[in-house]
Amino acid sequence: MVDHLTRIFVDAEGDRASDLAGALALRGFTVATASGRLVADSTTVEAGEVKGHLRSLGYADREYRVHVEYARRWGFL
Amino acid sequence: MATSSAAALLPWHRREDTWAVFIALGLVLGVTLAFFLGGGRAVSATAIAIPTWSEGHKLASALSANPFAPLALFGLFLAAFSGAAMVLGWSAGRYAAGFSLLFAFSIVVTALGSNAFLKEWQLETPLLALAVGIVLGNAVRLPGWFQSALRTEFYVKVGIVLMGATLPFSIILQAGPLAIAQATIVAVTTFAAIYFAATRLFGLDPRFGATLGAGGSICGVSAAIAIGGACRAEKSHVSVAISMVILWAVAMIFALPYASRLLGLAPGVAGAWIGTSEFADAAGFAAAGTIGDERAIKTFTLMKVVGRDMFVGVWAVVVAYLSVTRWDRGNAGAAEKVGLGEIWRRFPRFILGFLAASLFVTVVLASIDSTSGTQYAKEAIGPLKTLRGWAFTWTFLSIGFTTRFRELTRFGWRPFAAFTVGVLVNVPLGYWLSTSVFESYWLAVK
Repeated sequence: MVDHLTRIFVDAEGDRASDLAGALALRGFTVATASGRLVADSTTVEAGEVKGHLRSLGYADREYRVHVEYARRWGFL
Repeated sequence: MATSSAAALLPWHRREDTWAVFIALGLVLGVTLAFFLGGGRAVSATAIAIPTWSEGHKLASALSANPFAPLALFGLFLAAFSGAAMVLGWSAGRYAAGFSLLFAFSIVVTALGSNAFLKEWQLETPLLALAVGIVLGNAVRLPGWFQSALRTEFYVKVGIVLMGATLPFSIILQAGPLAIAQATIVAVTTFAAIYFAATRLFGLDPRFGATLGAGGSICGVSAAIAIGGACRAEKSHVSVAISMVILWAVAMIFALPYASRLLGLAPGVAGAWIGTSEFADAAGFAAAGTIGDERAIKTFTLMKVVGRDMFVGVWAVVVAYLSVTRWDRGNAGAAEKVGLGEIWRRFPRFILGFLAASLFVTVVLASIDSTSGTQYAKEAIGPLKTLRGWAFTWTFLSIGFTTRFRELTRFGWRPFAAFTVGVLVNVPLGYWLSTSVFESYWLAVK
């Protein structure tokens, strides 16, 4: 019924940011730079899943922000 | 996926809201210009309204009075919608073919819905359009090119912006705060009822509870999507919440107008109740349209669009904050940041078009003398009301054709029970507020 996009804005800085982006890329995210900040997108990985993964790698929640966008598929009221 | 999934992240010119606003405001400006430049007759001829009829020859003579009118109406919207389809990335050719058939259906159901006998049985255009769509959509496999024209959200947004042109801004200013007060009482109570039933009674995840609560209390599927995203609910939870909204919204299209008539409610009060207790905009317009009185549509719009839809962004921020501070188990260190930018990001942009249309027409009326004002109301606002009616008819047909009951059955009893608790709170509370607490205000809306 819905499509989704999980977008991670990396707030960490320096090598920490690059490492975090690398971890996201390995998880299947597409990483790009927007306005001087690393942004990672995935349409298959859900927010809870990636957050658990980043925590298991030792990244604190404050080092990134998660945006989730759902969009209704065709035909739903 | 990229384009459809990231709808809220698309540039402004690739969003459905933008084009719904452009097309509707373009119509408002065009009709107003035509009025001042002496082209009112061409507008009246294009915005065809089918009169109530009881004998076939009366309908035939009404249609043959200006045989080119349906073609002009069709051409106008086909050009506008197909142009938007190209920019939005839909297949314009398939869309145009599908819209042609949808338009033909709309002529048939509008003609039938104007029949005196069917009107007596309360089978007016909104219900007929829904019934035709539901029966055919569930019984026949619809061709892909036709499905591409079934854009419920797009048509209802065009209709809502046109609605703004027929609702003076002074009414929005007067009744708006009241609508916001009534909507807030009901939305907070219903959200809390569904959320606590889901989490405390039925042991569902808090994010799932919040998504169900939003669908049942704020603005239906749009709210389930916005709040589901804000609190990072699972995709499957958002889908179940959408199923709940659609099931109850379709049921309420029939139940609320029926109950309003049975209880002898005045049109304005019935519209306010529907605006408080219906779950989706498109479904609500169908239910309010079934009352068969313009006052019901006005009070419905005030309650639903001004009172409820506008605040989905505020709800999103609150729920996002709760999500990262309360519901996020295993929070590693300090919680994530939640920005107030969420309010604007989730704001339904078509509401700006609705307010702009209302403000524009109010300013036009205020700047001309009363005789010209009366003429403007008849020759410009009248046709805009008729065009709005056609946009809503395409909406109702699209709801019917796209409501596939077999696709709405994949949910467990617990989310259904939690949502039903919300319905049991929302409907009587909305009735009491509309008929007792705020009745005099709704009766005053003309």
